[in-house]
Amino acid sequence: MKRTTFILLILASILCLFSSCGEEGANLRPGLYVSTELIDVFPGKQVTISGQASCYTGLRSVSLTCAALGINQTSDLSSQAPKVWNFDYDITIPMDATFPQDLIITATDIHGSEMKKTVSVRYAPSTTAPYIGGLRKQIAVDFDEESGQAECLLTATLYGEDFLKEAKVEIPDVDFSETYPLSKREEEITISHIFTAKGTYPMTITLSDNSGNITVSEHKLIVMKPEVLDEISDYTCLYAFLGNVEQSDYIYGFYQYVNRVDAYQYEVHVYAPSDETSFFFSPTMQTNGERLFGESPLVEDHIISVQTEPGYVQGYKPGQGYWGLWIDLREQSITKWTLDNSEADKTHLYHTADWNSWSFSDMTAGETPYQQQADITIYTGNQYFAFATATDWSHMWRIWKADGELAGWWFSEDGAGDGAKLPSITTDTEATIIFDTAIPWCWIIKK
Amino acid sequence: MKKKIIIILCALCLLPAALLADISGVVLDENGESIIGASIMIEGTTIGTITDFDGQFTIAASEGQTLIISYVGYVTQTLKATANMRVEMQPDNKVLEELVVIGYGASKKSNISGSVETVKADELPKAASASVGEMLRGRTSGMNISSNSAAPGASQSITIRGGLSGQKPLIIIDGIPQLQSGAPSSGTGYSGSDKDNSLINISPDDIESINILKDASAASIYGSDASGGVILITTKRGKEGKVEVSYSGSVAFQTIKDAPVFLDAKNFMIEQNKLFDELGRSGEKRYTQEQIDSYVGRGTNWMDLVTRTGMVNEHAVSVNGGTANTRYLISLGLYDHKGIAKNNDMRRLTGRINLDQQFGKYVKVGVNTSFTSLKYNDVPLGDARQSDAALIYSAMTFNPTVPVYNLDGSYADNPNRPNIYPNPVSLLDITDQSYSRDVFLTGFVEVKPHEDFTLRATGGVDMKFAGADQYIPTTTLKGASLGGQASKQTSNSKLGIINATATYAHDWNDRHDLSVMAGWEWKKNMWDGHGIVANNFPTDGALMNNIGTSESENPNIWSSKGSSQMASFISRASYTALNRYIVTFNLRVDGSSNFSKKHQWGAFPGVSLAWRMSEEPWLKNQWWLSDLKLRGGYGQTGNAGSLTGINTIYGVSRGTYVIDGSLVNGIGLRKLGNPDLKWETLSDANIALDFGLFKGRLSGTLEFYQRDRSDVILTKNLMSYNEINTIDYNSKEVYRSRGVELTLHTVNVDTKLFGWNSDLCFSFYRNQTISRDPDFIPAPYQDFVEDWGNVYGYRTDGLIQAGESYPYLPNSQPGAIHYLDINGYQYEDDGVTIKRDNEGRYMLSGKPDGRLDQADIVKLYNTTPIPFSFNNSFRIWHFDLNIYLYGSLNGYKQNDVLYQSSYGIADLVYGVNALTSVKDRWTYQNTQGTLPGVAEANSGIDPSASNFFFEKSWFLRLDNISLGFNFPSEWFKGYVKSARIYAAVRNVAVITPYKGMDPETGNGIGAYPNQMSGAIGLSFKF
Repeated sequence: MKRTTFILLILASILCLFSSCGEEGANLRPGLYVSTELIDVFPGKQVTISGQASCYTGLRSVSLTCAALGINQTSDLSSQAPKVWNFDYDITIPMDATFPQDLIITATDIHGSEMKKTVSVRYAPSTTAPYIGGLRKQIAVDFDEESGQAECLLTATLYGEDFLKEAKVEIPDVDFSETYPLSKREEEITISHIFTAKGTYPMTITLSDNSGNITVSEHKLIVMKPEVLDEISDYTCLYAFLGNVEQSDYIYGFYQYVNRVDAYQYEVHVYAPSDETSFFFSPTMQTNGERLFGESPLVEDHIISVQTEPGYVQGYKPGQGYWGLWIDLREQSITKWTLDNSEADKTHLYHTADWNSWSFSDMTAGETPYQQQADITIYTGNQYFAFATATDWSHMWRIWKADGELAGWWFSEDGAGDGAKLPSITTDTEATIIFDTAIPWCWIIKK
Repeated sequence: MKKKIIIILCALCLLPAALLADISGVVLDENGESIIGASIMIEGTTIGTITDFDGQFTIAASEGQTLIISYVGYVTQTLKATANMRVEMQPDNKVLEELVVIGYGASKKSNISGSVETVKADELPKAASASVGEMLRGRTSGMNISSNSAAPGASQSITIRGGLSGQKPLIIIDGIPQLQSGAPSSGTGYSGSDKDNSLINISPDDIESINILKDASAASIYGSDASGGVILITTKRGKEGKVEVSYSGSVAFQTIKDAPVFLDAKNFMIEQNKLFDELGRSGEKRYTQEQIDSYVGRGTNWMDLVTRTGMVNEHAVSVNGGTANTRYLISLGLYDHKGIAKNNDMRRLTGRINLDQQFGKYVKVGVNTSFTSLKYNDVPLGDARQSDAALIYSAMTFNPTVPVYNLDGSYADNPNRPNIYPNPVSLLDITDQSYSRDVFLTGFVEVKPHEDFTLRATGGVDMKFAGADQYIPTTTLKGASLGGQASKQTSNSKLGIINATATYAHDWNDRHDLSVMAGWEWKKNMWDGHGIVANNFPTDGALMNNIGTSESENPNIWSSKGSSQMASFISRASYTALNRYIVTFNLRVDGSSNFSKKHQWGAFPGVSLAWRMSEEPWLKNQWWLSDLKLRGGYGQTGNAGSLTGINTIYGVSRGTYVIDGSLVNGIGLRKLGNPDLKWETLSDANIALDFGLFKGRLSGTLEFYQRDRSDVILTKNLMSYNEINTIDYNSKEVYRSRGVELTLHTVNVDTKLFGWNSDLCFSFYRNQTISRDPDFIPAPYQDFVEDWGNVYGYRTDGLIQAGESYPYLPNSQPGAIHYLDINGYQYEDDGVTIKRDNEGRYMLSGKPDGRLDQADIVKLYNTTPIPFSFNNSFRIWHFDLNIYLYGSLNGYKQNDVLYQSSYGIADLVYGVNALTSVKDRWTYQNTQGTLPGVAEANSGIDPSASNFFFEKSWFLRLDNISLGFNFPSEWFKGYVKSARIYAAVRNVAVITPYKGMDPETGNGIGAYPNQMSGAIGLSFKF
């Protein structure tokens, strides 16, 4: 008996050994996550079913099925057998769908183990209001002085999550009221009217869809003398400057160089300290004059205005933060994007040369993690040039000139060399130098 | 009767012949191998013979007669003749140990007075080592070898005695220096590991011995090239006798060792969610708890996908033999290493023909030719981040919740931050091939008109043709942004050398031994290369092989060419009196085209003295003393720093000027010359004691040295604004190295059945800067006489806890590192000007001043290693066992993996994976966490400037365990002279407090993982 027990124990141990040497997690069913278990839809609606399948050994397939809705989407993963699979199934609810239904998501691993999840599908009308595209809030209509008329011809594109029902356009001051029957999710309408007098005319567009959602959109039609734009040149460069500070407070850096990237196209990286910070652009270093660029207050798609009525320039407000700005003069547009500053070197203290005497100022943290600043004195008659360097001199930023002007900052890996000369000054001045590694740019501001 | 008399006379005549029956036997060496050409003489007669190719002899002698058996290098034996004699010759140590290659000649080991160390190549473990440099690691005291990467064929840093000169050791193969020019880099954003360009060109199986000239009294014979020390390699040569064929081969398998552990998918999701909370961005969480709970498995293991089991195949075959006048050796070698990173391999083919021919009595000619072809397939390596991230870095850090491919077969992206991080597997699509072909041709003519007088002329050329080809396809993130990028680079270099020496050597009855050598040498280095990098290809299909299809407007094209020459006069005189008083003088005068005529020539003398005390009558016959030699030396070598010329150079180059914000090409000043520039000088004093005790049971060397490097060539900034604002000059800085080296060899057990030998090497040195330029002002924390290897930084005291704040750390929130304000400055009465001491250094107050600045920086550590090694060889019957350990008693190193992962923890929200250790970061819920929390990134202080991530990195590495079995030759009945099989494990274990990648090799997340190798091998001769 003892011997039999011993043999059985040995066999059991061997069995355990073999079973424990098996593939890790092979006996576990796949994990399956679906971002939602219930979706509200209406016929024709497009929905995305997202989720994640996972397992230890490798997935063979992930599928989404619903026979009643005619949905059968399968991702065959057998060739790569990933251990994790992120899925996004786009489906369109058929127009003749009946509700409620169940969508079945199935994850199957290479051993055939399955995990299923169900997503319930039920009917709910759309709650998203339709909207109007292609029409600005203020619309300029050119008034012909000779004929005494202004012909207004507007095209608007209308969108709805559910199918659109109708659009009603009203201009009360001229007794204009017109209804446009609609039947699709996206449709265009044309609004035509001839005005006989200059002035501002409110216009209301009321848009409704099949789910009963209604959108009312208010516009102003400004019948006015045609706005005249200066002839736009393909300038060598532009300069960006802030509208809410004084140029005279700056020794250097007020005019930030805007690089010409291509014909009529310019790019600059800027930092806006607040949401109210506004930027102007000029092909020359001047704050006033005929060639200022920004946002026109009346003509939204223009970034240029001249001193002729009725347009004038407002500063462009990107909002607080670091921005990349793309200015296209021919297209009359400013495009902004958030700068990815993660690569900017914000970890080092920087020195800035006090130039002829080769002494240096230690810089302290500035307004943002990417800014360093120091208080300095600039003496009359000295030839200054500026650069910023890591404290270990492992790399540095050097200034470079373009078209005779200080144009930007040049990143140098080797820490050798120095910068271009700065303009000399006529009075000894206490100033604060701020260096921003994210843009990069440098300002020397009088204290 | 007549007939009887005739018969009797005939019988009498035949009697001696009958008594002199043939005696036969075999003569073997100490290893049981037959000795060919051994002399067997009957004592007192002129009757003799020599052994044949099998060591066999037959001599007409009668049993009981005395035979004298002799062979060069072995103790002559006198034996009574018997039937079937088996004579085992014992080496004559007096003779065999005698010749040590010392540069432009050889010397009896007993007559060496400088610091020269010898390593027998056969004693080194060859398994899974591409370079003899790898095998030499720790084998000699005073030579520190470290691999810069664990990648196949990666470069090594070899320093002799602290590397004070900053130069690589000069490598001399059979009397000719070897080119050490490197392979070109790809010129793109991706590159593999730096390649070994020194010792990798020679097959370890071709090496007979390695001699290392450590001090300048010995190395000064190589003058200005020898400031980094000299490694003299002597290759195997043909031996007189019948053809001998040798084979050695091994196969090794490698696995990743000690790889850092990164978060698996589930923990990644958990930690990312936590991090969003810690950053105050809870609303941006990407994973719901339900998603985390439903997760099964570990996610995509990117390291598994880009790595494999490495394999090393080595095979070497050699054939040697010859006659008394002609001897030859032909060898072929293959080293094939498939690295543990997929697509990463190295293949080396070597071939060698060494030929020696004696023409008559006076003239000997020799030719050495070797060919080495190295081919690498590389993968991008390095610690670059984001779009430049390379293979290992990407595999470690890429989002584990992402599959490799999308459904359409394209590579999946990181959804947390698309188009920034390359999919690690996509990087395997990069084609990166480089090659190096080295042709080494040397020859010599030696004329010996008199037995004491030798004229020798040596000429040689080393030609290296290297290139690098790379293509980054559009399937990779970078390749897609560039439309595909191709690179083709070549770099060729050539070294030509001629030297001639005349040597007079005479030994007057072992009482006066004089050797005088004088000679001349001329050397020319030439190099050229070209390359192109172009983007925008219509298809990936042609790789870099149809670069003309590039649609780049402005491909990067370069070419270059240059040369330098050196002429030298060399001389050496060595005199030994009474076999115990030894003096050696060396003098070399070098003239280099790199210097102006004013300083073109440099003289580098060396003198060494030795006293063989054990040969003194009052010590000679002490039973406990077998050898005792006191020696000392002084010498100088030169160094041209990193100098490439003294002339002002203008060059045509790209991007010389900026016009309208764009770089344009033009002629620009490239370098300012300094005609006053002269040689750096390295002066070296050495004193040593060689000893042998108890009949050689304990022997060793204890050496002390001091070396000074003066006239150091440095670069300084010019005090004016120039296009080139630096210039090379001879500074007043003086660097000093002092050290002690100990080598011990013990024969612990030596019986017929069992033997055990041990070798211990130990070095201790300290490099210092002992003198400065007059305008040098030390930093507040810096000593005027400063140790090299010091690490300076802020002291820290854990992490800032909740409720704590420090005014001098205004940007550090709880969880950030608590840097210590420990000091301030002393001010003059004006309260503004900081006081300076008499060395110009800002004076410290010794009290905190509420600011964190340079005053708070202190010396944290000194990283100078204290290397040692311990080798044990065992012999049991026909088995041999080797256990080799080496390490360093000192070391401090930043744990870069932890630093990068912890300091960059905020990148986890972008889907960048981190070490599992980051779970131990400080949070308001885990205030006991030992790693910085998210607050550290905003502190404005780089933690690498502090002691926070530094760890002790002393180590003890069990580098080799090998077990071999030597087949007794009689098993093969004479068909095989010797045969051995062995199994070895390399890099078995490392004991160290360091928790980063490895205390020796690459350090960052992107470092090539270290490996452990298991090998089996076979070698035989027939």
